[in-house]
Amino acid sequence: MHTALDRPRLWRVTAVLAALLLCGLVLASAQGSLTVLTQRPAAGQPAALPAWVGWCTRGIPREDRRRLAYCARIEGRVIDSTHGPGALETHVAVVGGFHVVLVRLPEGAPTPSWGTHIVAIGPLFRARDGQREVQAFWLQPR
Amino acid sequence: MRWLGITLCLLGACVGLVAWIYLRDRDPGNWQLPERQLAAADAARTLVAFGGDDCGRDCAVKLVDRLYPHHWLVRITVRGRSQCLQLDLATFSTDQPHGLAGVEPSSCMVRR
Repeated sequence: MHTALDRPRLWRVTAVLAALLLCGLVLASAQGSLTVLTQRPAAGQPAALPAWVGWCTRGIPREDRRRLAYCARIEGRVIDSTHGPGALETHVAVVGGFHVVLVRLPEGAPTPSWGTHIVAIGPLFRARDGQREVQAFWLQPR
Repeated sequence: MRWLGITLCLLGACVGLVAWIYLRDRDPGNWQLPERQLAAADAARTLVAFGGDDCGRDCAVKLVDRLYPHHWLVRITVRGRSQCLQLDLATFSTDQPHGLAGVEPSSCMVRR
């Protein structure tokens, strides 16, 4: 046992690989961003708002989930996708800005593949599994 | 051994980073089972409430289909008699003074 562990050259290589893995994870999860707009903006302050806020009202928010915020914009990379339970229902998991957010795609939107850089805008809900979920009223693969 | 320690620390940091990202935005009070498992558990409790817990093979419960979010169609057989029920997982309860809540008789046909 002690001989197996006493291999400094091997462990030096594994340490370098582990360091590369850590750097990769940090870089992958740091890119992108999550911006949350908790309340609907007052009518008199449109100039102070980012341009993407206009997309927050371009759809009908679902009513079967607890709403966490008026709107959110997530930019990041797709790390997973699921279809269903509805026939046209597709969700993707996006990592960006050290956050993981689920995105419910608009019906009929093509499913972005793993690693695709996307931007999604829409109301923010609590998904059934406890994660946060953006119901995408606007989606752009980049 | 020093490099082994460094390797373990770095791998621990990788696991810690992934766990932190995954857990930081979760609702800690919302660790729910998948809906199918919730529906199966509620259906089993419904069978018990219908007196089907002590009749062996003459009693059974089966999930027929998910109708829409939180609503499941189940077929319950008690002493050879079958009927279909619609379970509303959000309001289901067996603690009501007058019986079950969140359970309605339904056709066994799936309507969408």
